[in-house]
Amino acid sequence: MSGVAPRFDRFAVTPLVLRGLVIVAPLAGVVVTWIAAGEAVPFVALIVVLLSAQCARRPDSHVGLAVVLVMGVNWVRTVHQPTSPWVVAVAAALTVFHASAAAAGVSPVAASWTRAMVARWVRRSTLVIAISAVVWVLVAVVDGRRPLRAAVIVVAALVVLAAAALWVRTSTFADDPEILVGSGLEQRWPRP
Amino acid sequence: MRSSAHWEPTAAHARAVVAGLAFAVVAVLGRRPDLLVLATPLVAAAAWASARRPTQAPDVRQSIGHSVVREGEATTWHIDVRDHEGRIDDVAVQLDVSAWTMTDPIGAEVAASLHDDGDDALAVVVRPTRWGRRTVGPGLLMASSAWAGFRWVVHRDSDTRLLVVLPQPSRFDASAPPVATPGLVGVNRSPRQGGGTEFASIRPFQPGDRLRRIHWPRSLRTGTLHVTSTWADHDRHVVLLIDALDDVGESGGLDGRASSLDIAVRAAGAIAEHYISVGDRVAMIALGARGTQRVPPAAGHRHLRRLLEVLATVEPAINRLDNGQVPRGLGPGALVVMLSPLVSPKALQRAITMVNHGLTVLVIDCLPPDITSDDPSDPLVGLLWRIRLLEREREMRRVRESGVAVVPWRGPGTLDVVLRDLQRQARSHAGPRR
Repeated sequence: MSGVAPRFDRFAVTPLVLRGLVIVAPLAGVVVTWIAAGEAVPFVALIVVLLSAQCARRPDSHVGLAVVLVMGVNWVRTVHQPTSPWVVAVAAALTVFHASAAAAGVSPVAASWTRAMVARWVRRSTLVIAISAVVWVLVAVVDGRRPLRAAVIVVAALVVLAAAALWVRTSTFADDPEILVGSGLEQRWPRP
Repeated sequence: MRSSAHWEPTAAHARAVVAGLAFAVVAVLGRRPDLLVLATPLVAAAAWASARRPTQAPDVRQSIGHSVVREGEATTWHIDVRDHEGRIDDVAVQLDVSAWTMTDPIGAEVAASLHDDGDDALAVVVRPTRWGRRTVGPGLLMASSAWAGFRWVVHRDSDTRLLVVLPQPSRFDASAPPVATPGLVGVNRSPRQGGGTEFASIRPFQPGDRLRRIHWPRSLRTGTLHVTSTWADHDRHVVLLIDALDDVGESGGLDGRASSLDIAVRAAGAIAEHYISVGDRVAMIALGARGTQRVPPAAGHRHLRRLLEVLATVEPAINRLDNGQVPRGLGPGALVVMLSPLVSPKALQRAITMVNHGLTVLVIDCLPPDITSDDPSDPLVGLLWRIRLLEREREMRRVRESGVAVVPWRGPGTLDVVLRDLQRQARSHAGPRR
């Protein structure tokens, strides 16, 4: 069965739940975006479901990046209120999707997760969602006051982003400046 | 083999970095601060993973609890992971196992949090269900850091271990008396008198008799020297001849259906165990893929272990034709127990030839009883087998008429009737004991 989706009778409960979350979380994010925008775009939902289903099949692939980008573009295109509180819900959906796909990518499909593993992933995801909520509060506050000139804010933000990108690049390729590629492990793990 | 030379970024980390920065840049340039909120979880995950990136490779050792087990017995595959920096979060292992091997957990895949669960959780119970030489491992091990941002993979062929699975002998017992075969050592009484422990008679002294055998009361009473004579202890030399030139039927392991070679190997183990337990010498000759494998006759439990280990290496000779020749090394007077599915006329001819050479031959029919069961995918298979079995029955009748005893394997008591018949024949040839 190589090249075909893994057999579901091999799945342990946690990997199955993770793959379910990989599909459900982006769809929930799209639905929340519809609510925030006041209009439904079923075509986007279809694309997200197809991409996330592929991501659930091969969590160790770059399809997940496409899912995230589609969700972001959909938000920017349809929601025109920058301080909409629904953005926190979409960020939560993004967090759940990213964490689920990341966790599913480093664990075999038939391996049961221990309680400690589940607790750690839930704890960290919750913390990140809380940080997103704090950022939303800051955005709402800053957006209403605009204490500085916009050009200054943009320049400062770009400098911060450049520094962050440089740091991430340095720490990511500390040993070997390889291009980020799919590992090829998907040919074996998950193995049918 | 696939192993990481270093910690490598995962697709999840790439997703977090690329999408997080893209959202942030668009948020700044497009004056959409709400995108900063969407970027936050991704940037946070990327930053967290980068800050906790391991730099040193962990020490990984894989080992197996036992190198020799019996069918159905379990042993444990251990994975020992040493994380010097304390930055490994999760470790997952996928163990390679060969056919006829059950594992716990099913699928031989385990995952654990290294620092919360320890590496005791990284153990796979391996239970081979069929005799033979099984390879276990290597395990594909993947260690991952925070947010699964980086991973380190090891899959070394050098971690493969060989597990010798001894056959689980079938239940067997023989209550029949021994067949008369010459020899001097053992627990069975010979029909001849000689050096032994069991009293036979008191007879006049002859030159060559040992002085300690003199029976003084009778000698004093009669005035001539008399000695105590004893029955010679006699051993049985049993040769197990295993025909592995055919393996008929499917093997489902210890708990499933048995192929002809399964029946032969387990029966040979049972017969060897029985005869060695009563002090007899047992030899073995296996005709299979490895040519002719021989184990010289000997007694004792170490020898039984050796027999079982050689039995575990027997492989069916798929591409080797049976030439019907009698293997060398069958001692004169040995009781030859031939275990064969008897699907080849050559095997039956071999039995007749051995009888013609003066050997006592017992043939155990190891053909699985359910071989004629209809195959749902091909209904003609069952029919063909029934036709072939009719021909085989005719050939076996001819063999029986030649004086070869052929019995199907029935476990305990399989050989009793035949051994009693052979004993009667031997006594009638030797004449009555005085």
